[in-house]
Amino acid sequence: MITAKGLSKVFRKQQALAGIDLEISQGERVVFVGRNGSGKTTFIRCLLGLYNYGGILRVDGADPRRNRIDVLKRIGYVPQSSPPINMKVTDLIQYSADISGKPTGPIIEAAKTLNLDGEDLTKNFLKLSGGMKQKLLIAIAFGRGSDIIIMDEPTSNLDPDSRKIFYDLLLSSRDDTTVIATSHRADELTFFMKRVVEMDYGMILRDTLFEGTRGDNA
Amino acid sequence: MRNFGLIAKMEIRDSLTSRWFYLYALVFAGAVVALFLTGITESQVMGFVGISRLLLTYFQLCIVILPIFVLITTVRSLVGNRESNVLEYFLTMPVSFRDFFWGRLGGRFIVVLVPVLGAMMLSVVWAKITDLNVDLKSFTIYCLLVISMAWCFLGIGMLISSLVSRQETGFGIAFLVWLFLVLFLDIVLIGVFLRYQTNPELLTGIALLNPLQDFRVASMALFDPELTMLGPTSWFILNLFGRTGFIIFSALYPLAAGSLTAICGFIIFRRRDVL
Repeated sequence: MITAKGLSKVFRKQQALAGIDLEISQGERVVFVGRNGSGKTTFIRCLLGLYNYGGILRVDGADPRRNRIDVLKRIGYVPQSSPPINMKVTDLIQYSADISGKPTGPIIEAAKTLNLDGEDLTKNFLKLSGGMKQKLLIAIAFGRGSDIIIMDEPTSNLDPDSRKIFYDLLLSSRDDTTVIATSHRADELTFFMKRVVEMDYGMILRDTLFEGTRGDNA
Repeated sequence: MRNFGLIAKMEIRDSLTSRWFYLYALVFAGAVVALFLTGITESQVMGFVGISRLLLTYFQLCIVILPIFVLITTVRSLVGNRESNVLEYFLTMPVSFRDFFWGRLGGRFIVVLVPVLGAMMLSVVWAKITDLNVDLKSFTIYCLLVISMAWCFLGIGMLISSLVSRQETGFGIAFLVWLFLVLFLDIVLIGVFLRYQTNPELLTGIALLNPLQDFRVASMALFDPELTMLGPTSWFILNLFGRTGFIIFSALYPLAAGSLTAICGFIIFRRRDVL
């Protein structure tokens, strides 16, 4: 489904990705772990068509840069930190649904699952707390009906209760939904993922696949 | 095209919740009110009075204020979004770079024009109420010149926004562009001419490239066909084109310059990394 061959990215003289080879199948749950600057976020941004890159990167044969609409229609993204979007929450939900050609209902349902109630939805996004913003972005990513969910440090702003709800939401996603996440901590999301890719210096150091029922029992 | 509309709508909504927009609207509405209060419509200097006099003065103000407002706010909006990762988030949704770029440009175009044209229309309505003579032909030409000027500087603003990654750099370039264009009006050009005995054709060419100079000459030519209040470069330009020809040029050239810079901005925006 997702194929990277010799994927590289250089910022000025700094090599952020040094020729990555990787295959991710439909329905896989993969977490990328590694310290700051290891290349996790750069890989995700290449996948999202935000960066130019060297080598080959394909999502079911489509180039994220050249066929960005086809690729991004399938992707729900949760950024590392919530951007300061100056919009009412309802407007943001409406916009996200409209641009994806999807109804707002599933996004609102996902928001309710994450304990965002009616009053929160009427506020300006900027007036929400960090955790609430993160929950809303998670709700939008899941509610858009994407079959690829990409999350960059998704739980960094969530309290323990919200993390539990988030994990439940993650596990309740369809079996064919591919989930790609990043984390600094190997013990954070790895429990829910079937595959852990450890990165450093823009390279893959270790790629471990866990067979069986990991995460399915959570 | 549907996404173009969504992006334009988002840009308009974003601007309507921003302080800069209200300050911007206040400046232009305030300028019209101030011009009425100062009794400029009664002024007999240079032989024309009424709303035409007010529009000419208002337009001269627009030539100085509108470009810097448009440049700074456009750079602040786009580069600010890039710095704060808002751009990253919105560009991970299924929208093409084309719809995103031109949608934002379209939205800003409306936002920038409404207060300026609104204030002008308000002045005409007031003139009708108070029985002042309104020259609708000149008013229409002024509106077209304002539209052309807004488009020109939006295009330049979008190009700067596509080129830079930091707001400070963008503000610096925007300010320098504005300063350069303001300085190279008649007043500096004649100084250069005198100091270096420059070829008048070259001087005229430089002057013609400056959209601010074109707007200035066109606005004055509407009311001062004798050219008594124009500077020497303006006189030369007007002599070359004729009054009507120059007014057409003054509206079309900045539109073309704005489109060209916007297209360059789009090509850069599409090719470079989003962040």
